[in-house]
Amino acid sequence: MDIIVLPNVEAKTREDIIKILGGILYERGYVKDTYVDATLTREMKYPTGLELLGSTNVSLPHADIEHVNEPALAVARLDKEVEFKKMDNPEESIRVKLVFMPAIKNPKDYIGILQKLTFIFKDPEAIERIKNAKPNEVEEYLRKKLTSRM
Amino acid sequence: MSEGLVKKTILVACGTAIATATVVAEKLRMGLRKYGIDAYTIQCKAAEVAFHHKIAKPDLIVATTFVRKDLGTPVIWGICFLTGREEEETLEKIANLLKGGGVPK
Repeated sequence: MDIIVLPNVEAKTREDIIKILGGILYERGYVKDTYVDATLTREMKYPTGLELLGSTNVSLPHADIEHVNEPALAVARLDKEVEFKKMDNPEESIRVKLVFMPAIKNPKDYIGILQKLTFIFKDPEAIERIKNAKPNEVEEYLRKKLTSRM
Repeated sequence: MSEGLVKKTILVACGTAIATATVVAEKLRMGLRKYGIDAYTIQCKAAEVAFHHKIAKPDLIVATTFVRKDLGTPVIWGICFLTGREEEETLEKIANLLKGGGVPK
């Protein structure tokens, strides 16, 4: 699976960052032109903000498989945190620093990727690394983590 | 393997693709064993909770997104199994609940 890491992304709202990440996936042919809108709609109905153990929060905006051409994961490190609604409570917002946008083609892959991402989310050291390492190192690190057999 | 364990059914609900629910269900099945519970899990979309509830008659609903809470079965949030925040506490809460310890707050 291809991994794209964007450091120092400027975005004011969650709509901005979804358009930025989804736009890159679209430009590079991973997703269809319906992907961004489908992700925005899904995020409204089923928000994806996750409050982690440390001080860094993440979100997982995505759309269903029918909007995807080729699997990829786009990750943004935001300069300034952006508000996302919480997955378990759409009434509540959290400030999100890292946005993971998985474009998944095969539903079975999604389960595997999510499972591996949750291992990363639960590991404060991994999160620090994704926050601070050079983009190409983060890509390599994520590729290793996401393709490893558990 | 599961001899001596209490058998319970848990309906696990998430947003749309059932991926989150599948990940959470796996953690529930593994995690509840040490509490002496053999959990049978059914994964479904949040919008289909009522339907699956009717058919499966679960002992508990674990949800990672908002689901209706008026089905007469306790609902517990399962986000902790994705983030690690209060994961053990939640597992314990679920185990107590399934063993008849009443509805937690």
